[in-house]
Amino acid sequence: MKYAWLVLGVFAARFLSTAIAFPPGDGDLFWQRRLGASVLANHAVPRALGNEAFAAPGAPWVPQEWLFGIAAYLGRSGWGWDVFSGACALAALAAMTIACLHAVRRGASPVDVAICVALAGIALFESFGVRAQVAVWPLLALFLLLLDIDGPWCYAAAAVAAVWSNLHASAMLAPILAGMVAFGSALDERRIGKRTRRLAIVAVLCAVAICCNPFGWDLPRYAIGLFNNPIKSYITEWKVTDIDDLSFVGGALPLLLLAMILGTRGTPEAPNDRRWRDFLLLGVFGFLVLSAARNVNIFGIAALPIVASALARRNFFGLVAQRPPTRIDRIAAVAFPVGTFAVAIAIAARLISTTPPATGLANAPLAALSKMPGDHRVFCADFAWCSLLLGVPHESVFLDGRADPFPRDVWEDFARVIRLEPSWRDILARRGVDTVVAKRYSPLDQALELARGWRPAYTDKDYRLWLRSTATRT
Amino acid sequence: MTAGALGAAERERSSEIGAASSAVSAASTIYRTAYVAIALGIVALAASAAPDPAALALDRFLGARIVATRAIPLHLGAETFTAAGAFSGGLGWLGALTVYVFSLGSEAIARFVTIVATLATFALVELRARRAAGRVYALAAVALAAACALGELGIAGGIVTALFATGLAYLLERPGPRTVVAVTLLTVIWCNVAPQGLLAPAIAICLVAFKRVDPTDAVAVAQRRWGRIACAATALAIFATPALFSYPLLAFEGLRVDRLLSGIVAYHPMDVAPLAYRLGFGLAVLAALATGTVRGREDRIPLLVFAAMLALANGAYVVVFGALAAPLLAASAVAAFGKLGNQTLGSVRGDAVAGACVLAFGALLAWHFGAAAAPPPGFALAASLARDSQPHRLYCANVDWCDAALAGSPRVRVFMDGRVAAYPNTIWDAEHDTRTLKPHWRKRLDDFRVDTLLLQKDRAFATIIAMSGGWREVAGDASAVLYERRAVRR
Repeated sequence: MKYAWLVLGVFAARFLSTAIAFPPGDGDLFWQRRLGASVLANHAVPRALGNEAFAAPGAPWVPQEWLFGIAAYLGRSGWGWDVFSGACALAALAAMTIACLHAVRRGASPVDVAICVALAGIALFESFGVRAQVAVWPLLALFLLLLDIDGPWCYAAAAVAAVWSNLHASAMLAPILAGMVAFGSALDERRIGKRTRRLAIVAVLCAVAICCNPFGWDLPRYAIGLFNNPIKSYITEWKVTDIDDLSFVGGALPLLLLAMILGTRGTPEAPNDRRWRDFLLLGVFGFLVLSAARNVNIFGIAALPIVASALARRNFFGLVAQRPPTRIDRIAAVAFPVGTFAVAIAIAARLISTTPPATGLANAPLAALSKMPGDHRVFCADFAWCSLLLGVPHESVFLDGRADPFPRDVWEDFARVIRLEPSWRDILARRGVDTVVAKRYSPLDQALELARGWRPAYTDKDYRLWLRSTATRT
Repeated sequence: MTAGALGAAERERSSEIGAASSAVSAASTIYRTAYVAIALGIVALAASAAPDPAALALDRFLGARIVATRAIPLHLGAETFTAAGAFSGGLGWLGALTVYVFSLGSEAIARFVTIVATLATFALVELRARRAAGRVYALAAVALAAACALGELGIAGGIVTALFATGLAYLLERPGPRTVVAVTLLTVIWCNVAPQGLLAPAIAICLVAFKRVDPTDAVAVAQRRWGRIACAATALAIFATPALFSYPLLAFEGLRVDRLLSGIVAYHPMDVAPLAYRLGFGLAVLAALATGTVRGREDRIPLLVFAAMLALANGAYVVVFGALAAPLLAASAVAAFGKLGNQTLGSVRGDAVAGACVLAFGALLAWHFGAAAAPPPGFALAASLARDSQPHRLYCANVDWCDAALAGSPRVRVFMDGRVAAYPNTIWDAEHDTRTLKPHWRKRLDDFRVDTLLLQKDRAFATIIAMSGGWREVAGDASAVLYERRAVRR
């Protein structure tokens, strides 16, 4: 692990500074805070959209991130924010550390672990932020570690799955992964032995555990529904993984190529007794990573221990591990983590003090709108911007960052307007939209300029706010 | 032992031999049937695949010009009004001429040539796989390579690249003096046929440069020497084109892997070859995860990695990935699942594998025909400009449409055609900014005096143009719409 600490230190600096110093870029935190406030105030998790979403009031909602929402609300400003966002950075680090320990447990040498954790860290890079997904990374790493333990501890994976299901719907993966590992174990053992039976029980327990949340069976049902949900085509994270993605090409892809080169079967001298378990796990995560950019990070976490141990079996850098530890090694084992984390904190502090706050959520036009008199029914060219308007008096939105609960017809209308399909003006009229926020010079902005019945109410160098000229105000 | 007992023993033995012979014969029949079935499937795929209309149109246009002028055009001509005179190096002139010559005959001849090229490619894949892995895995390798070719077997499709790449790999696996000559000639031809000839030195280096040999093995040492000579020969052969030393730069852009071309050309595997990517590439990844590479044969790794990166950089090369990687994976499979690969003719497992391959391939074939894509949109509208006696200065939202327009009418001049590599970066930027309606897009259209627009129907550009007032819709089909300036000055 000694070299891995160095790598972890570098990523600690990056993650801490990104989390604390950079404001969120996707608008999710705004509605998650509102969700958290609602849960704390009403002592209940909301199950439907309210009137603030004028296109779909009352639409059923599974707010999967409710626990994260509470934390986001409690840590919304001041020291609370530093603690909350710092915790997200630590979650990413914890995931990497657990995966490293998993790799060491599987016999990977320090150099193997360091190489793989560097690649896994890059795989986390682009997805990292103060987000619910990040909070579940350590749970995924822990879950995979527990599944790999040949003993009663593997039952603890079900408890992890239960916690996971209260943070994010990706907990749906838990029973699938456990089932795969159980099946792989049967293939490895060439019989249904004790380990296989235990893992099969864990898979069943996980299936029950992911219902241990305020939504019960609705959570897995919601997750299954996502597979065939058209809204994925409108969300950047769901786009098919491309070689242009830094995290993919610099992190997940090298790990995948290493896995392909090394294989899961081991060598004649060091056969892999987890051959089929590793194959099935990598197969599932390989499918996921090539399917959507949002899965690049979880592939990194899952592949790290498997690839590092495969490297060790090939003995690429294994000689370092076989040497008995010297006094310098023992000192380094303490000095590396302490030193690197000290450097990380120093770099993070420096970055935090020098990095200007980022924008990109149409903050200025929306702030201007909230000061304008009357009620507004707002259409945001990027639906995430509208998250900033949730809870603002007199403002209701067509579609916002909660995304999932909005019905299919709302999404289709949103896409038609954004693409300027011939019916775009009719849709805005039919839905009663009287306010549009668009990027300046974007196609929608140009179309509104050419269309009759709209006037610019606010303009800056990035955005323009359009109001319907004949809008009726109450 | 009595004579009667001996006779009985002999009869028993001869009946055992007879049973074994008939088992071998039955197994041979199964294998032959499997090979024939897969060959027929590949023929069916190649024969039924829709030709790439854009590539064909541009090649016919260039081929006709070569025949008419009896010279290879080294610069973009007056057919483009944005970059006339830009150096194009005559990239792919031999391929264009070949397509033109075949297009003079019936389409059946062209299809027949494609089928022959396809069969030759898969025969080379089979030969490479059989060298390293035996018959069972060779069959599986062909099936895997075919899965990577789904949707890519049309006339002038990726199969040409796969044929040259596989031929080169086949020759370089056992290099010798004659191989060097053959490899050099092959590279020269490939570079003159298509910009993908640039891949030849890369493939040669991947195959040869990392090979480890036993210094006491004289044959292996000699092969390595000849392999290195072949590498150098391919590196030099790429300059034997009309573009000379400009070839590498032009050909690199012609590979369409440069992200500066994003939006102008499609490159993502899911857009370019979705079936081949999801099925073929996915299966190859799974096969590699299960087998890995053979210890001591790490020299195979660079080619596998190179082919995978190429496929991810542009989906058009998934077929090349399949043709290059399938034999390597077959060789690894022998080491990983040796019992299966060592099955002799007549074994139940071997027959089961062969049968499963045929069944899997049949299923893929059925899926392929079930998901046959509709003809590409917009081409008919582009070709319809040929019926117009007026000259046009045409901007196409899809550069492939401009190829069809060029091939259809000598009076059409275009903003940008499929030879994107030859256009300067400033024109790439102008094209991108116009297509995405960046500020000043109207001024760009005015500056270049564009008078005709071929746009995707129901998209932002068409809607803005329809609202603009200075343009009128003159034609349209289900997916594209043609606009002309209201006050056209020609």
